[in-house]
Amino acid sequence: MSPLNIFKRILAAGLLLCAPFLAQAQEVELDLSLATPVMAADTTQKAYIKLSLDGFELAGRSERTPANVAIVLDRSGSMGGDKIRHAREAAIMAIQRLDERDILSVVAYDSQVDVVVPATRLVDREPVYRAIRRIHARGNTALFAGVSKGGQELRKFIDRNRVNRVILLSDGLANVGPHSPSELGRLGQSLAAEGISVTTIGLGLGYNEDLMTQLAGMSDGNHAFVENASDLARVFQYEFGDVLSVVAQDLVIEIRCLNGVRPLRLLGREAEVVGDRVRTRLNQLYSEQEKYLVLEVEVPAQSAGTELELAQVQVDYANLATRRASQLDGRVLASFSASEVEVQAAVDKPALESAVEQVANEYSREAVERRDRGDVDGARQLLEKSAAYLGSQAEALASPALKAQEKEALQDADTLSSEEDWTRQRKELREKQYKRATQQSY
Amino acid sequence: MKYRATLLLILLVLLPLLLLGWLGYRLQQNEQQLVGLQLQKLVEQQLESVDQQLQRHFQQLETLLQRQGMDLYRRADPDYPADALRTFIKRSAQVQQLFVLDQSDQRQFPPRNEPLSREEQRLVERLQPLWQSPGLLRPKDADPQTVSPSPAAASDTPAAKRSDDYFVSGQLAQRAPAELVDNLSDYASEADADAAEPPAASLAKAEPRQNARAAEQAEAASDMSVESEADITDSGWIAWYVDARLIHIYWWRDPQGRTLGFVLNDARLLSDLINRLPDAGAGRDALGDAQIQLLDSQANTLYRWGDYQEKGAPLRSLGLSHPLGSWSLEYHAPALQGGGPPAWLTLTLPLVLLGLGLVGLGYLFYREHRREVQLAAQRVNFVNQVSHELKTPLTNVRLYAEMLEQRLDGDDDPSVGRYLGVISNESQRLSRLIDNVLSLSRLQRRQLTLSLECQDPDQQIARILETFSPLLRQRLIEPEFAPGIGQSLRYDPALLEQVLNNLLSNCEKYAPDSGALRIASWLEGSQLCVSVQDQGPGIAASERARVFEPFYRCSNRLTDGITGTGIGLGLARDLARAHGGDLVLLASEKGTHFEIRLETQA
Repeated sequence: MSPLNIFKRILAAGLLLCAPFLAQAQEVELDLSLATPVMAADTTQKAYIKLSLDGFELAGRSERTPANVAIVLDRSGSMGGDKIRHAREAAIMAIQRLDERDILSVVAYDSQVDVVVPATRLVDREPVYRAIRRIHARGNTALFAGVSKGGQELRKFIDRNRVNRVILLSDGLANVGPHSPSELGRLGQSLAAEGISVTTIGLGLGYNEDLMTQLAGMSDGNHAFVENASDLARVFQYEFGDVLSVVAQDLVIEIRCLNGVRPLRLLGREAEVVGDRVRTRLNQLYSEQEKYLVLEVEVPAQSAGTELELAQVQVDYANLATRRASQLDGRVLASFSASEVEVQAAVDKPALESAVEQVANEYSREAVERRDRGDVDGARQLLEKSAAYLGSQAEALASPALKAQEKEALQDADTLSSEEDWTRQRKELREKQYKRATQQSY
Repeated sequence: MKYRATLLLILLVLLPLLLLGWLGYRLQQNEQQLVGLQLQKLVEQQLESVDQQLQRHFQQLETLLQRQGMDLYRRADPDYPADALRTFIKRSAQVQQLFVLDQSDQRQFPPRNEPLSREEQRLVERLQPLWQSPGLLRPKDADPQTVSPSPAAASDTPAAKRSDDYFVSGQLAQRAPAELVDNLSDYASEADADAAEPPAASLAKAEPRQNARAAEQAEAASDMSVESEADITDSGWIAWYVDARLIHIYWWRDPQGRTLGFVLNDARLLSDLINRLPDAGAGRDALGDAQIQLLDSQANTLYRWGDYQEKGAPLRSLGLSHPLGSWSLEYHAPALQGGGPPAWLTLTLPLVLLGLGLVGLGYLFYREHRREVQLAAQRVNFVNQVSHELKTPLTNVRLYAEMLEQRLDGDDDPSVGRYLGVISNESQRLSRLIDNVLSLSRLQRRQLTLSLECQDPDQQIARILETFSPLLRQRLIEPEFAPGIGQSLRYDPALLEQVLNNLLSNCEKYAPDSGALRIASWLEGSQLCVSVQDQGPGIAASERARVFEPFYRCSNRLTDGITGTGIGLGLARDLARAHGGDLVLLASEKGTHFEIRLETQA
């Protein structure tokens, strides 16, 4: 422990916030907070630890990290007409944002897979545009093979100092090769291990949103539901904006719970929980953007007046601005009091707000799963319960955001129980849940 | 006649056509068989090369995993640290899970007495039966296709390909160490990047990366060769179908006899295998109008390349080698002839063209032939007309010559009588000629009708000889008639006269100065027989058969300088035959000997 750290600890009395701020810029900021820094004594209780990571601001446009992007386009028969036309245009428009530093490849798949543009440095654009304009729709949907070949193109120039990303656009169910969400999820997991994330864009109402969110989730890419093909250009722009603003990659987060604190679940994200340790990873962090995790833990009963270290956190990441591996760490402390007032007064509002948001999001996910099993009433009740929870917390925290989410939950409860338009609703819900869980920027 | 010509033409067209068609068909059949066989072989080779391609992936993977296993082993002191293993799993793209068994096959990792993550718990549950089946990780021989009894179900049938208890363990079929080191490059660097070192190290080395890479590769290669010589630790692949997933496990025994089991990420494995196969563009170039499909154990298509859109059964399918033993490749292509022009073009079209040509040619011949026939008919017609026209004035000439002879009877001037004789003789000859021509045409048109009369043939023959005798005598031929009938018979005298006329005029023409001409007549049953025998040069034996052919004239010194129509003998025979008899040339030592037979009626 450096003397600097000790100084910081003194500053943050009671609740501890500890992060090695070296300089203002060029470092990711780790912010640890506990929703309830002062907890009721003599009772076993749940607590929420919020771990937020802030991407620093890029010094300038010229400083950005070069990208290695594979655009994987579905050109199955269902993409015919306007859809494929919009997709082509959106891809070309998005590519215009790249320059000579970047590497691009384009893969199109139907029943088979065509590497339309093999991985190439974007020096001469015209041939790329021409090749994209030649893509026409026909045949079936070999989604798995398409993503595989996209990954393969990325691997030709793979580099931890680049943003390596597959952007998958699909409008249909994968019907050639593997097609279960779990299989695609494992593929995403494997790609993530190499530093590749997959962004999935579902077009129209025909695609499998579980598959697309799994693939994106396991590889920490973005996910978007685009009902109207004419919106593709916008989504591609957002996506490329994200790609070009990555400041840190390969963030490995390890939370070690101490003193008998038991980790229950990491809300909204995949994590490996072994005993008292929770490990997870984010593939990248974007400039000036906050990503956070909320960990639900069970804290054993403590007597009033004690101060307890709940957890230690360590984050390893690759800083793309300095091109160095960096490490952040911090600790989470809590104190215990018998006074209810004291507990309420100490509540960390933003942290609790996030925790509530994620808890409600989990309810929403579970509701969709129940609905899938045919338990419409159960799903509805769950959402109503979620809304009530959101409502009470919104009141207590005076949070308009939670109020809005409560309204949303009530609305969802209504749409959930109606048969009509469910395919679209489900896609919207899945997208919403995904974005909320991953704090996607668009 | 008409039908015969048509029939002939049809045969002329059909026969070569059928022959050629049959030959062509056989040839094509043979060729197709040959091409089919070659194609089959080619297809098989192609599929096998794909299989090898996939095998190579496993070989490379094996090398990579061995290296990684070795790395882990070096850091183990003495036990494998759970943390390092977990980090390894997290960082590895290919490996989903890992287990370590100690020397007595007891589980070391996932740890036995510590909390496990959910995935580790699942792994333990799933693999428990595997670990308990004895000897599985200690195969007795290196047989690559050992089909071990499934630990789940007690089935011991290697043939049982039921996917739910599919289980195979063994080593890779063939190893090519040299090749392995060659192909190591892409994996070796990756291995270093994501397995051995923590990311910090690899990032720190970002600038001198190229150099570092090269060095690492060299190191990796040398490492490999050293290891492959040094340790004889056994290793192998297990393919296991469990929970509707095909799981591949690579196990490797470390130098201390512990077993490291790498459970591969199945999705990633398939993805890598797909990446080894050509994409649609390359597939189009490599296969042309054909398609290869990669199928899993339930015959679902995992990947396909090549242009051909499959319909129905594959042309050929090939089971893949271990550890992908339950998968197969299928080759789809349009049935048989792999690329040649279609059958109708190679066989049917030339035949049709040939047939058309032959029909055209036949038609031309037929037209020519018809024209010829018509022309001949016209000519015959013309000759008939002319003959008829000649007959009337000739009759008049004869009539008046005879009248004149009677008037001048007794006149002193002998020369006048001689002149009249010549006129009468020549006009008789002319009328015989015309009679011949008319008879011929009647015979040809089958219009000859017999006009039977009752007469004594002897008297008629005598009368004819009398008419001819002046002519014959001029040629120094002396006719001698021996009559042998002496009774009236019913026959056609005009016909007999014409036949005799022809024989006698031949005799006059071709046998001058021959002396006696013997003519005899007799009756044989109902047949009237006349024989005519001269003492002339005769007819050579070789010519005998042909003298009766119409328009045939013996070409030798006999006929030189003698005019004739060449129809006489033939006509005479035809006439005799029309009368139910015949005219034959009998063999004789000297001169010619003809015998006429005519059927008479009572």
